[in-house]
Amino acid sequence: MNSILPVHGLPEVTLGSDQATLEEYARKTFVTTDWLKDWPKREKRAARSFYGIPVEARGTIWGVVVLDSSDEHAIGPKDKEVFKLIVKNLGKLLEKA
Amino acid sequence: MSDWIPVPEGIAERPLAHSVRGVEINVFMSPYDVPQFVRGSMDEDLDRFIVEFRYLGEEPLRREEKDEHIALRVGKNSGRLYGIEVNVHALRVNQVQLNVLVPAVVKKAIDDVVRESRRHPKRPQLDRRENFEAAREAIDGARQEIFADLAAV
Repeated sequence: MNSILPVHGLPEVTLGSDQATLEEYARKTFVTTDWLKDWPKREKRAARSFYGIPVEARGTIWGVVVLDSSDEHAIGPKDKEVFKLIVKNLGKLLEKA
Repeated sequence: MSDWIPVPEGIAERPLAHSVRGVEINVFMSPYDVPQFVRGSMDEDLDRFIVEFRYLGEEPLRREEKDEHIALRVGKNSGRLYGIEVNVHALRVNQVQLNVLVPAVVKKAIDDVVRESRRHPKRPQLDRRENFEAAREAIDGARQEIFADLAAV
């Protein structure tokens, strides 16, 4: 899928999070609850918003830039324009590489 | 050759509903799929009127003949719509009719590819509906400037 995917409003996940919280987070981020249960041991804080934007070079998807934040509503309309500019320039650089 | 006309920011900005593993999500079109510029001009060498789109990136193109009047320029890798060629002389109409007919033929060409992509939602090479719709919006926003060159045919 060649689209921008914004995910925001994720619940806070800690070692003591109940099953319903884990399930909500897992459903919105496409991970399993088992994987999620171990996350607080590995990471200091779970991201509460994501913004995934594809990067292309010569019409082919090269990869995806994913930005995450501990703020559940971190990414606003102005930020989206900045991210578009980043992937635009990244794509241009890749085309020259 | 006409100047490129900037496509206004904000076209194709509406959220698109998708279902991923049973979860409904809202996504937005990739910025690579939204035309940044559009222009229309008569190519004397090809003897065709051409509507062209410019995007964030560039790629090699392939040409697809749709019928005796229309050919599309499509991105070889992405399937994105880069241009619509109209064989104005094959239309066999006078100048006044040309001014009406060419925009209508271009509109029909995009409508047809949008319809084709709806018919084959599982075939990624054809599923460029969102890009085609963005191209149609780009034309609708600058119709007069795009087809101004027809007066010189």
